[in-house]
Amino acid sequence: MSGAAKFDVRAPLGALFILLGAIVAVAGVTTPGAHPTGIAIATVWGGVMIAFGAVVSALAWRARGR
Amino acid sequence: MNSATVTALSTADWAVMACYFAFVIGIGVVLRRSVSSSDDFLLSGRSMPAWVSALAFLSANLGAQEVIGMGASGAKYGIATSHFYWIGAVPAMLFVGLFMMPFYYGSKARSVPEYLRLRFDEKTRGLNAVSFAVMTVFSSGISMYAMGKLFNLLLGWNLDVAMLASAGIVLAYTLLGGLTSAIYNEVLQFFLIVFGFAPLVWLGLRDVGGWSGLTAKLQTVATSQGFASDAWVRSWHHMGTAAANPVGVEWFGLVAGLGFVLSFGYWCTDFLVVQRAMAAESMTAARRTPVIAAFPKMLFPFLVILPGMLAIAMTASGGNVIPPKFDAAGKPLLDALGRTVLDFDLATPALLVKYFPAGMLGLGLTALLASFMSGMAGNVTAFNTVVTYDLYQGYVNKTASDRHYLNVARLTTVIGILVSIAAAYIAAAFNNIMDVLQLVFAFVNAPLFATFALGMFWKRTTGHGAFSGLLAGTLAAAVHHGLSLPAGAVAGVKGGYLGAVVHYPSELAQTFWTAILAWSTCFVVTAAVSLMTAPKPEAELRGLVLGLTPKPNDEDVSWWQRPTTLAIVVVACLVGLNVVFW
Repeated sequence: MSGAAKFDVRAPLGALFILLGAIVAVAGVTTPGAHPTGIAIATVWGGVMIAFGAVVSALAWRARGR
Repeated sequence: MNSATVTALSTADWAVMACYFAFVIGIGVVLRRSVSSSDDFLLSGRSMPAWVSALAFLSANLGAQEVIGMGASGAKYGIATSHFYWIGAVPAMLFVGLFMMPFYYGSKARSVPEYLRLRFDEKTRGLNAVSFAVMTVFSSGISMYAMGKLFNLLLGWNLDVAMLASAGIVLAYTLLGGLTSAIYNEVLQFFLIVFGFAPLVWLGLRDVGGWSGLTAKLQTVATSQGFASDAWVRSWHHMGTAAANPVGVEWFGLVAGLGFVLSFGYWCTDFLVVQRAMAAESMTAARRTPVIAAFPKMLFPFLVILPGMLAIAMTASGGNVIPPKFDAAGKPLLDALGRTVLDFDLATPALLVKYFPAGMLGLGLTALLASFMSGMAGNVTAFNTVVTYDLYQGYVNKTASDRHYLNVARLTTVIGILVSIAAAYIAAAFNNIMDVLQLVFAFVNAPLFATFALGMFWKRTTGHGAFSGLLAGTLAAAVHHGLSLPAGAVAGVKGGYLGAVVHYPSELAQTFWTAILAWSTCFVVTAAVSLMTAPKPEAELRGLVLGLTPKPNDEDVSWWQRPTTLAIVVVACLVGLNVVFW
């Protein structure tokens, strides 16, 4: 197995989405007038991104444990 | 959207972009340690799981021009733009996975031009390698210029800074981690594009009253241009004649030109995408790569075409979402009937600016940047492999150490980026030169699939046949283009330079028919010359051609994960989508 194959891309993918999701969600909560559509899209979508990042990170973590 | 209406970014938007850039370079830094040979750098050590190579297969093709261009086409043509996916991509992706990958992967060729050397001869490899290398860096440069111009227009960024910074980031991670780094970043970029555009579609549809609301609004768009009221929301219904649909093409030209010649010519022979499948960890994984990629590809119209349809629907309802095009004096351009000419390339970005608040806007713009960077990295990693293995090792230095070829590959990566930057500046200075170059590329690409199809499925095909077929096909494309002209165009780069004998209702119709003629000419000439020249002995064709290659065995994965099973599911979904949007 090459060095590349040992590095699971899901690890940085999960971490990136958790981080980006947090930035987007915090921006949604703290930025005044951040809801031009009438719904808190940044907060909602930030949460979705964090959830996606968490699932991907869990998959990477489980694969590493095998 | 002119210089007076540039959009300001918030701290959160900048933070999203900064995080993304840090991660893409970080991946390159981590992977730097795993690169110890030219195989690791250029071929990724053939170690990729199928799902990773599949997402990279898709992302390498997802340049900014696709995201922006498909949004623009969605506004101009409506749901018929989905033909570029459902007819113009997915069938060819299934074909290359099921039928061609056994030859590419099984032959152990390191590139598509190298396969041509093994199957045919040196001159056919050389012709393909040189034309591919030139095309990839120039395409990369054209895309870089388009991206720089977009961000200049949208955010007021300095054109030079936008182009050089993005090129610098792509250079950093491809130089550090080679193809593996490019592929891993393409996976990140794929998900960023999905997460960056999905909420845009949802918000837009919610605003116009769902699909039925969008359909109603698009009736005005269709009837104001003289088409049936449902012309923007039906993909096949108005394809009986070219005049009845906004694409300006009839069904046969569409299916044969786009669905067969151009699509199969790109997805089945272009090393840029085939390289991702060749990096897979096994033959089964390589065959599954394009088939798995077909699933998201099938759904991409909803992500990249719908924003354009939403933008034109809102503009037609008085929303003024798509800005007008401006002339050099800063005045809005008008067409022959005195109507304002819209800048369709800004349809998707304008919708991003309209809907996305702080943080989300950074996400959407990062998705645009990611699409550009994945396309550029795809071009550069394919360029360095072809130049190192096919041109340098093939013709300059055949017997150097692997360390030497690794250094050449790294140097070629830098050269690829530098030539791309130069091409971007040429595009900025001489727009017509780039139009001419793109035209020449189209002529070279159009006949390619005939050469590969005959080479893989007819063992009698010879190197002389393939070479002369390619040249004849390219010549036929140039002659047909020179003798034809689309409606509303003047003789020149749009055609007719040999005298406008044939007239087409649209530029796309002319392109499709040029491709059909080039393919047919290449097929006939290759077959005829092959019959007149001596074929290679069968012993030299083992693993390269049908009948002399073992049938692939997919028993290392469960039945439902096998390429054939997955392909059947894709076909069923594809039929369903075409019926729903008929």
